[in-house]
Amino acid sequence: MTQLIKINNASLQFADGTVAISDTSLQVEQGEFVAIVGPSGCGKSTLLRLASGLISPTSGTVERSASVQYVFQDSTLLPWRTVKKNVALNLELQKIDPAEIERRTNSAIDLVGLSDSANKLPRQLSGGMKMRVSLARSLACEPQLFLFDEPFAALDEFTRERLNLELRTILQTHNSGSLFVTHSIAEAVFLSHRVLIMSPRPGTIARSVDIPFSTDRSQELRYSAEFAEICGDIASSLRGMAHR
Amino acid sequence: MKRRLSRALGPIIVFGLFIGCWYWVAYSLHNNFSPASGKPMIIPPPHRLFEDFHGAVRERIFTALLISTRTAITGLAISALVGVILGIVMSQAKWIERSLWPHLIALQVTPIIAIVPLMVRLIGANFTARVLVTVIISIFPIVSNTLFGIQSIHPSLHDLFRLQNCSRWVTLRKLQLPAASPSIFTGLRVSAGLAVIGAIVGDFFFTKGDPGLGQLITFFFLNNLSGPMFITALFATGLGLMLFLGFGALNRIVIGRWHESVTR
Repeated sequence: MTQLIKINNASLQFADGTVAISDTSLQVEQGEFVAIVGPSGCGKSTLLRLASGLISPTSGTVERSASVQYVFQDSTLLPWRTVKKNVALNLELQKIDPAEIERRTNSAIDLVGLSDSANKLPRQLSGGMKMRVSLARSLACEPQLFLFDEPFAALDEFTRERLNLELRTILQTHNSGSLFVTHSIAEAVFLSHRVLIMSPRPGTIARSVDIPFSTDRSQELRYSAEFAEICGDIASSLRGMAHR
Repeated sequence: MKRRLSRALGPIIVFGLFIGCWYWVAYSLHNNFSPASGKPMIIPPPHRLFEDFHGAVRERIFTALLISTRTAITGLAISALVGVILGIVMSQAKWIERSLWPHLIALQVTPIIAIVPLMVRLIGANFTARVLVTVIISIFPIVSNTLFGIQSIHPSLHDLFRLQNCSRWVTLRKLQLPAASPSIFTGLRVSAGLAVIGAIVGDFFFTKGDPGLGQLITFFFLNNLSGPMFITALFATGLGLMLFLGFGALNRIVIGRWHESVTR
């Protein structure tokens, strides 16, 4: 298996002395979906920013050997661009051949089911649709590694579950890896091969839980006893941290 | 249609009250000579305003209007160009912003009349000086709105561009300028009004060269021509209004499709 990203004993200390991340290591391999869960403020998003290269660790190393796309918590669409032009943005910034942009943009819009809205402006879309556009923008780049920063946190439960399923289906056909930050345990368990539990102050990975389900998952899985058991196990780990 | 009518009702009533007050002042102020005496009134009633608006007077007003418009638009164009560039430069680094900001504030609060003698000595009392006054009066809102517009861009949008390894130039062209354009237009609209004030105020200070509306007002005042003086003032107001509305329309054309401030 090809390793896409490897973080070795990374620590991050802010200028004011706060240690945000302490001695943290993780890796994501090709085809692997890894979720990071943890209480708010534990440094999940900071860890993801380290992984993306937006910030550098004060000690330790981050080795990326893959093309990366970052999916933000908010849809970060440009309001003056249509859905199609937004999806094309990253490719355009990478100065890719226009015909190729056209092809990849159309197929990404198809994939997230927004063909009918390709010429709409962001203000005409619902929250779920905006997130789909943001997803399509990353998908169009066909990266080897996706970094997701709580992309569905602002959506209602129903939309969120549907997008979880769609994301799984889409990523199955890609052979890319994903690092997915969330504070929803169910979302993490449903999507991942492996869930990393982060503990706060200073942020570090406390535990890694392998998820035993097959890659082919349906909505019914959420209501199985085994699913509930794994979620319960992760929840009790997190509760333990809160009481510390 | 009905809603439009009810929305227009307020301004119409206020305008009616204003005209009423005007008549009341024109006819009841005891040092405002009555029409019966045949002497000119300091404040002519609205219906007699345009009595002298013909022949040489009309020609002078139109010429002055053209000259003031030229001064205002030249000044505004320079303000827009320099102001937007300054705003962009200041947004690129905190230290540049900190270095320039106090001086901009100083320029903004300096009473223009205090530097007029200096300008007369340096560049003379001509068109250039008038344009310079216009620029000094109108540049600040453009700089501050450009800067504010760029600084208000959501940090994750900047991250998005950084992650694609975009140059400053690409980020400016594809993110910062379009995102700041609603704010820049707000600045331009405020500055358009200020530019007209600048052009007319400059006229009062610098008496050489072609007379604009400001000089004409002084001329009519000295010759006891209240009616033409009022008309000149009205045209000055009209000029400011035209520029204000012009930028409003431009704003609608450029960003109306996507920005909430316009569509709402």
